[in-house]
Amino acid sequence: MRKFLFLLVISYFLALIEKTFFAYFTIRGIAPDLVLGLVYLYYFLTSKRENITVYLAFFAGFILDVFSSLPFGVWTTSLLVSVLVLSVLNSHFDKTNPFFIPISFFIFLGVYKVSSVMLTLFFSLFNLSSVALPFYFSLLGFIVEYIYSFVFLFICSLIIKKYVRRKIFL
Amino acid sequence: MKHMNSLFKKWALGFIVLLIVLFLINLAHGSSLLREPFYIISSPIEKLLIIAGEKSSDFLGSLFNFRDLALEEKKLASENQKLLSEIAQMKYLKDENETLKAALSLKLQEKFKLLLCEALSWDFQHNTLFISKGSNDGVLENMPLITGNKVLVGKVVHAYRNSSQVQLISSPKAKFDVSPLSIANGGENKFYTLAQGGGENKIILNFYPLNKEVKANDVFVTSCVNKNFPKSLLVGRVENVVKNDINPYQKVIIKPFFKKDMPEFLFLITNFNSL
Repeated sequence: MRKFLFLLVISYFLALIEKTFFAYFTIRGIAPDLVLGLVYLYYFLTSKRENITVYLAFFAGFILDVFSSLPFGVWTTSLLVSVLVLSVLNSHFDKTNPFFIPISFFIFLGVYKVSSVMLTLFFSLFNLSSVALPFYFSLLGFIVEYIYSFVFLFICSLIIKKYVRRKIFL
Repeated sequence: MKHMNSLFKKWALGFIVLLIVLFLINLAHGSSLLREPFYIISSPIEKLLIIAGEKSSDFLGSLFNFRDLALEEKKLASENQKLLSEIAQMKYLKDENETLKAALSLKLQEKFKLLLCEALSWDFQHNTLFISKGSNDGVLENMPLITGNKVLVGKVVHAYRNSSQVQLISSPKAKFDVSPLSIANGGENKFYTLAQGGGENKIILNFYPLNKEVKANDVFVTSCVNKNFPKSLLVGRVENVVKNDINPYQKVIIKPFFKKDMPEFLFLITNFNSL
């Protein structure tokens, strides 16, 4: 329970950093998805505890929704859908394969973005103007976001492996 | 396998219930009850992080430009002399400017009924801002938000109880009419054109007639023809003009006057009924 609360506090601060600090380091308006990276990294390092990852995805998504201007619930549900897709991927593919992380993160982020567009439309009663952010929801925007987020994911995984005791995280 | 199926059914059911609950929350505009406490708690931390972000971006910017420093030094030395001669001229302009200021004197309070509010939370990615005043303070949707210097920031799109969501004029959803300052202030050939937010801190004029002259640094103000915003609020300065032989219009890109590091206190105009 304490570890879970610790993760929630981290996701709260990551959400804040993502939308304030990284607003100065955006690439054409796109900032790295730190909270998404946290959920992915937690799942990747602790795949035996899928339930906890789902709860983490729920609460982390809730925090993202609180700070977002999109309809409430878009990020909560998108993150849940992405974690469920990730668990399906995990059960069908070999995690030790070096291509697993980049490919699974690509799919994870892809599902996250597509479901966020669909859910924005759903929650805004199919008001098309609610997704009028051309670059943010474009293919090029997706690739930029993937590379940007993946770099941070890679750095964070190195830090966790080197400095953080796995016991704290797991 | 049976266990897996029942687990999947359990999750699927939970997910559908969650979707329905969230849909109802959005339908009843109940999200403000969940969001407001977080804004109030997070506001001081956000301000610290914004300052840290600003300082870091300045620092990193100077690091990346390290190679250019030698060239910059030479350039600065020659510019220094030029500036000295300009100082004399500036002094004259300063006096002139002060006289003009006194003559124009913004007198915002006389022209508009204003409500002071605080910027709580920025969402630069989606071009929105949350402010500290809501429907309990008399805030209504479509009320324009300005700075103390008459710079247009945006308009209220959702008024919650104790806070409101403001759509910035750089949002792609924002559409309003503007005029060049020279023309708006009594020049001849009055005209206005449609401005649309271009995201990423830009405003785009897609239908600027080819026969109308426009150049970099020209200032644009609101024109109030469609009653989106009051007249003569400062919008921004021309950054770039794109001309194309095929297109009967020239595309004008404007950089808004408001910035990420804007003052935290802003004003809502409460006596303007926009359409």
